[in-house]
Amino acid sequence: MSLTFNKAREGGLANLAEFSIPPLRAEGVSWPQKALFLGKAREVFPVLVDRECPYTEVEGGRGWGQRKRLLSPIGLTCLLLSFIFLVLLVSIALGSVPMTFPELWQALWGQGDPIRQTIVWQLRLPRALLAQLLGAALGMAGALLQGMLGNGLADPYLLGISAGAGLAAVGLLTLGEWTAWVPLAAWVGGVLTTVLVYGLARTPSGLAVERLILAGVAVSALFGAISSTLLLMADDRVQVALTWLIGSLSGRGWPEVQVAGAYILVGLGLGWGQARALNLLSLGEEMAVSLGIPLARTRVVIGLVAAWLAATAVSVGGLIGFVGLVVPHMVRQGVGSDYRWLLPLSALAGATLLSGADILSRLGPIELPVGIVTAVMGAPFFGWLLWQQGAGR
Amino acid sequence: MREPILQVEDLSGGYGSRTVLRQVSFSVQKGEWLSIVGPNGSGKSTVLRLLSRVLIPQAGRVYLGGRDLHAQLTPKQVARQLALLPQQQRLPAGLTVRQLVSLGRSPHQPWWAWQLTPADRQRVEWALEQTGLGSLALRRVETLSGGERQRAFLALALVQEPQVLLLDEPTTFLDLRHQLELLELLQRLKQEQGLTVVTVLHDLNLAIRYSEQIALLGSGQMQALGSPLAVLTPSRVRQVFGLEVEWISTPVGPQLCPLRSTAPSAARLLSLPLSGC
Repeated sequence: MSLTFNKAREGGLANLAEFSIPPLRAEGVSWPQKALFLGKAREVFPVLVDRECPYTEVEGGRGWGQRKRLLSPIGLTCLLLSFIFLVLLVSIALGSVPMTFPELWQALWGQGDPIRQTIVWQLRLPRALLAQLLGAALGMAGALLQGMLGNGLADPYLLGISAGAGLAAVGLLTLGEWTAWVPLAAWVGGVLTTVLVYGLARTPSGLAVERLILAGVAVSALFGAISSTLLLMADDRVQVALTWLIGSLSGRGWPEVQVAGAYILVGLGLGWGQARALNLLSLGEEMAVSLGIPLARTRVVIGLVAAWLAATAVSVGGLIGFVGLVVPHMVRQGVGSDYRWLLPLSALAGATLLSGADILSRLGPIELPVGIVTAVMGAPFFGWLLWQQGAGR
Repeated sequence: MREPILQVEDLSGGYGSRTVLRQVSFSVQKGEWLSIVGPNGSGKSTVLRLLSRVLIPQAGRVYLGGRDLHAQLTPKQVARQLALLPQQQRLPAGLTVRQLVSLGRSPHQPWWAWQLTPADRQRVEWALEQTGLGSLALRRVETLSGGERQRAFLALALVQEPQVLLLDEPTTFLDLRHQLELLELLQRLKQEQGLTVVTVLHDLNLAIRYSEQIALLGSGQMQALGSPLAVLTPSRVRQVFGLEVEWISTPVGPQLCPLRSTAPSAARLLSLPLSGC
């Protein structure tokens, strides 16, 4: 049986009839179309299709691995890049002023109706770019922390960034009219809180993951309580603060793109640089150390890079939830747990997701804060992911 | 006398403020096999954790190739000379055996390296072949059996090109056949490659059979150090393990035959450190 299967692999589509029968008997095969698609795509785009993974060798011949993947990491990268481009186009095409594609095209090239040009260039494009930048930052920050803490429930806000940034922002928004200072204060608050959490978790013998998580939870609870008190006391400014706490991209423009963009691009680079260390950390502490990873230093560096990325995102967009939690799980389904691919692809997927959520948030009669959309999208998706993983075993 | 590759001087260590290991000294020559034996809780694993830098010593020094392991060498420099096979391994999901084993090259790669060089790949294939994993290279690690998993992590350690290999109770989760296969493989690597082996072993007879040197630990202190026959005298085994034993000769050389426990507690009876004779 496996012999015909191998022959079919080599022959691709040529011997279709032969191909569609035998491999189905191997364990875990879902449907023949997938096999056909693989056979063909393998020949046309060898780089894009995952060659090593779907055909896993099992005892007694070849068969299918437990988890099936269609695309290689490079293929997935291409797919995500085209998604990002598509979402960007849709994002600048949709809005309260409807535009046909030729009008949009003209406006993009600086021709035609000047109002449309302004709308596209000054309102929609920076906002779309910002959504992608923030999504990328949150996606990578989530992947970094999930890897460093070895915990799939970690999100970019676990180490106290949300609480610190939230407290700083709520304080400024409720105690006075210092709206302009909110981004800076939120950034500083988020990063300082992470430093505080690390300080609390530190022991002479190193930096244990459990202590980091506990310290993060404790600090978050305390700061959250103070924020809530401030919100209760300042009833007239609650609306503004609440919108910020949920996360919103409304009214952001080029200045935010430039500042946040610079910070985020630096952070993405630094984060990607930690990929190999994260791969080794996923083997457990003992193995990581014996493979030459300085444990405490690596944990500090990764935590700070994640805090840098998340704090930048938060300072511009408020506390947009779920992106950093869900995206790494999505990407892991596609590329496995190799952080050299997981990190950059989490950034790309985060960009796509947040940008898409931003489009959805603007579709209704009133604009929703994007944080609500990501939560509404993210929660059922997470459930689906859990269900699928359970069924796969 | 030659310079020992691994030299431990008055090493003390433990967890937090608790000291588990007190002033232990020993040295290992290149190409030698040292087994650390002792009852449960005697600090065997702590020695390995100190040697592999997972723990920082409370006092004392460890010299690797003449240089201080904790003060003079960087983590990466240590990882190029010394590898560890931990007792329990954490498996990242979704890696193939070859990908897992390739991670062992990291200490030899510069920080900007994205992929393995051809020389690295050659080493990976060599290690897969040595451990008999060549046909399983494309298997996902989570589908491996206990013995195969142990071999995969051994291959990972071999890919590090270590001069010293530390093993923490490598035979614990293996059946008798796989125990022998693993130790035979180590012995071959020791003879062919000049690998130095330092292993914690529960089974005294396996330790006797394969090691040149045995370090007997009891309640955190070195009780005896030397050749198996000199260290594991019946009186000393009775004193440290609470076990009556007798040396007998077998086709594989002298082995210990357990007679009875000298302490009548059930806990002792359940943890006989011998596999029969």
